[in-house]
Amino acid sequence: MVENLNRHELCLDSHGLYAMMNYLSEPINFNEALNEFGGDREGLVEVIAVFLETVQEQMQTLYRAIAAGEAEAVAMEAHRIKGGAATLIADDLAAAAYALELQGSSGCLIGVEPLLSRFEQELKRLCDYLQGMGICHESINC
Amino acid sequence: MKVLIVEDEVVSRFKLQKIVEEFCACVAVESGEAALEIAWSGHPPDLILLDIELPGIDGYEVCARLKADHRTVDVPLIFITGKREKEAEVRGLELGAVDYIAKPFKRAIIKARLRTHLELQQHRTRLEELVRERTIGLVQAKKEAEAANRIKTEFLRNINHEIKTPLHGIIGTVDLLSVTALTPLQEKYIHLLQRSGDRLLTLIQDILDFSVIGSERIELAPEPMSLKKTIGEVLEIKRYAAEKKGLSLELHIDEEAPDEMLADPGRLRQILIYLLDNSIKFTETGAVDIRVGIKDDTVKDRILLQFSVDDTGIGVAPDKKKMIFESFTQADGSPRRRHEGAGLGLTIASRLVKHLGGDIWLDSKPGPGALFRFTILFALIDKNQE
Repeated sequence: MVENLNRHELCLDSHGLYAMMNYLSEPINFNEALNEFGGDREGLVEVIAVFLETVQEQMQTLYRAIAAGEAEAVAMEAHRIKGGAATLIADDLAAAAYALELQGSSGCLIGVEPLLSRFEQELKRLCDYLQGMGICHESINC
Repeated sequence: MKVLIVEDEVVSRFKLQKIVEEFCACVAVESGEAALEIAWSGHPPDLILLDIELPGIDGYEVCARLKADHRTVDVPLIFITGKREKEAEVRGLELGAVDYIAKPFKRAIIKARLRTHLELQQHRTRLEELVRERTIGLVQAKKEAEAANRIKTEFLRNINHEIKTPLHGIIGTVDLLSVTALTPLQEKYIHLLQRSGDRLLTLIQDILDFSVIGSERIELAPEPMSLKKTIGEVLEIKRYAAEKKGLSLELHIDEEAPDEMLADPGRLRQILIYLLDNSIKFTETGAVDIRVGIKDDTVKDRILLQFSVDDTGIGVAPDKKKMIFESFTQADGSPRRRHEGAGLGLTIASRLVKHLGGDIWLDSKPGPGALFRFTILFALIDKNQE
C-alpha cells in the first residue's frame, strides 16, 4: 500500500501517511477474531466489551504513570493492552500500545506524547468501528 | 483431565479458556499466587498454561515454585507470553517448562500443543498407574514367596528333627552293638552301618544349616574370644579325619595378629569346619594348611583378618570357580563322581562370611590344590576398659 501511494507520488509526511493507512485499514479483523474464538460471536462480543472497559481503567493508569514519569509502569500497562489488542486482531491498536511499551522500556518518557496521542486515536477508531458494527455498547466511553 | 490457565489479561484468558474447553475442564486464574493455591489444593492439574508477566509473583517464580514441590514437579507447564526476547524462552525452558508459545497466539497452535501435551500426560499417568499396579503385585508376590519360604524352612526344621531323632537311636544302638562280641563279618557290617549313619547325620545337619541360613536372620553371639583357641578347637575336631587320610593339618597365625577379640566363635568355627571338610574331602595326599594374617588394621578398634585354607588336593578347574559357592554344586557334577556330599558346605560358609561382613573367594595358586581365602572384620577388645 505504501509502495502504491509512493507510485502515485502523493507527497505525505509520516503523520499524513499514517492517517491515510488508518483510513484504508480496518481497526479490527473481526472475522479472523471470530474464527480464533471458535466462532463464538456472543463470547467474542462480550470479551471485547470487557477489554474496552479494562482499557479505560488502564488508560487512567497510563496517564498517572506518564505524569509521574514512571517509565516502567508505562511499559507494563502498555504491554498488557498490547496483548489484549493483538489477541483481538486489533493490530493497529496493538502496534500503538507496543510503541508506548518500547518507549517505557527505554526508561525515558521524553517524546511519549505523540505515541500516547496515536494510541488514543487508535482506541477511538476501534470504538467507533465496533459501534458502527453494532457490536459495542454505546455506554463505553471511548 | 484438567488444565490450569494463569493469565492476567482478560482477552487472552478468555480465548485460552474457549480453546481448552474443547479438550477438557479448565480453571483460569489471574495471578501467580492464585495459581499456586489451585495447583496445590486437591488433585494437581494435568497441564498448566502460564503467562510470564503477572501482577505479584511472575510466571518464572510460579514455575520455579511448582517445580520445587513434589505435588506439582511432574505437571507439564507451557509458557504463553508476549515477551519477544529469546532469553525469556530459554529461561522458561530451563526452569522446567515443556513448551513456550509467543503471543499473540493462534488458536490452531494452542490446539496442536494442547493435544500433544495432554496426550503425553495421559500416557504418563497410565504408565504410572501400570507401574503402581505392577509394584503392588510384586510386593504381594514377594510377601507370598517369603511366607512360602518360611513354611518350607519350618517344614525342613521339623522333618530334620523327626529324621535325626530315630537316626540318633540307630547310631547309638549300633555303637552299643559294636562293643559286644561280634564275628569278623558282623564287625564289618557294623562298621558299614556306623559310616553310613554318620554320613546321613552330617548330610541332615548341612541341610538344616543351609535352610536356616538361606531364609532367616542369623543371630550372632559376640563374646571375648581367643583366635588361637577357637581355631585350635576346629583342628582338634578335624585332625582325626585328616590323619585318617595321611594328611598333615597345620596352623600358621601371623605373630602380629591379636589373639583376643570380640566375635562369635561358633560362627568362625562353622566356617572353618566347612572349608576344612571340603579340603580334606578333595585331598588324597599332602597337607591342608590354615593361615591367618592381618589384611587391614587401619580402622580404629577394628581389625580385618584374612584366613586361608590351602590344600594339595584335586583343585578346581578355572571354569568351575564361579559356581563353587553355589548351593548343591560340586565341581564334578557327574553321576559317577567320587566324592559324597550335598554340595552345601561352601555355600553355607560363604553365606556366613558375608553375614559377618567379610568376603570369601577361591584364589589361584601355583601347583595343585585349592586355596580358599576369606576375610572377617573383628572388633578389638579395649584392654583399658577391661
